[in-house]
Amino acid sequence: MADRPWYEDAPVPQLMREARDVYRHAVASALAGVGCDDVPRNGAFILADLDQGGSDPRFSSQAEVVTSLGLSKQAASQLIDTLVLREYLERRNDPVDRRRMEVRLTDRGRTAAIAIRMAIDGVEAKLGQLISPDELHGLRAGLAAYRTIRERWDA
Amino acid sequence: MTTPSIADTYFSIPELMRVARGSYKRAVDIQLAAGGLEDLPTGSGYLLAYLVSDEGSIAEKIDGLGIKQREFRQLIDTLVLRGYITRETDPANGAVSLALTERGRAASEATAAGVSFVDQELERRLSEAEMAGLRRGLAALGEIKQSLAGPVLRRGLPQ
Repeated sequence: MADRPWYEDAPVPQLMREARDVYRHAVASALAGVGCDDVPRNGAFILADLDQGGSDPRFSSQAEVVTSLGLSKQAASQLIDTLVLREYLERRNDPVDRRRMEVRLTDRGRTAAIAIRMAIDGVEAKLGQLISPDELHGLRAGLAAYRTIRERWDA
Repeated sequence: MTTPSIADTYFSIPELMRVARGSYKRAVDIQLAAGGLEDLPTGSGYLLAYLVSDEGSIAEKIDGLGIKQREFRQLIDTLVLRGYITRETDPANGAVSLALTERGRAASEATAAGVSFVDQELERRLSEAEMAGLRRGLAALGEIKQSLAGPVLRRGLPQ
């Protein structure tokens, strides 16, 4: 009989720990390759979220862009400030409601966003070679279940 | 058993991983707080687990934790100061030995209880096939990460 695969007996937190930075490593390497190695932590999520693939990106509400990150208002604001200062984002007042701010990718931001997307696609292509579609569903279902478990505490 | 509808739809895997990764920490923090052990430094759970299993040399423990020697020493200093472990140096050969105190054992048990709570919730929410897919998927991501950084190393953390 074949040996059980090592990961079947490994504690799940250990598997999480070993897997958790794979995207960060791939994205950091890709960003360095295009001269964008000063994207701050969590900044890649914002750049990827704003990436619409076109050459003339539209403005999006700053509040909506940072909501999904679950950061404090202050941390989210600092993150946007840093991305603006480092020329990844352009910021302006919402022309309809001037109390609100809007952001969009600059050329540098688009370059970074493309590098991020390619890095993520690269990891997912490798993942697709290593695991079956059913296992990929299990991975996503499992990660989504963690999210549901966490939401009980965050409520 | 229910499969969360978001699993195959809106969220990308990096987004799902970002949200998922604090789950164990939150559960462990709740257990530690209940026992008055809130000052256990982040990331100490693995070290305490090593000391419970009492396996491996200090060099192996540092390697298993994936941290630098300087960070390991700082972590040990903090754990000694806060009463979680003791540190003894053998005068004959200078060898350092570490051991859990009662407080350290309580923290290790609270950590295990937090992890166990999340694992049980996970098993309640997932089918056997999904659980197997989660394990296989995480293992594959770990292999990809190590392929980005160099040769594949699998750390034997205590069970």
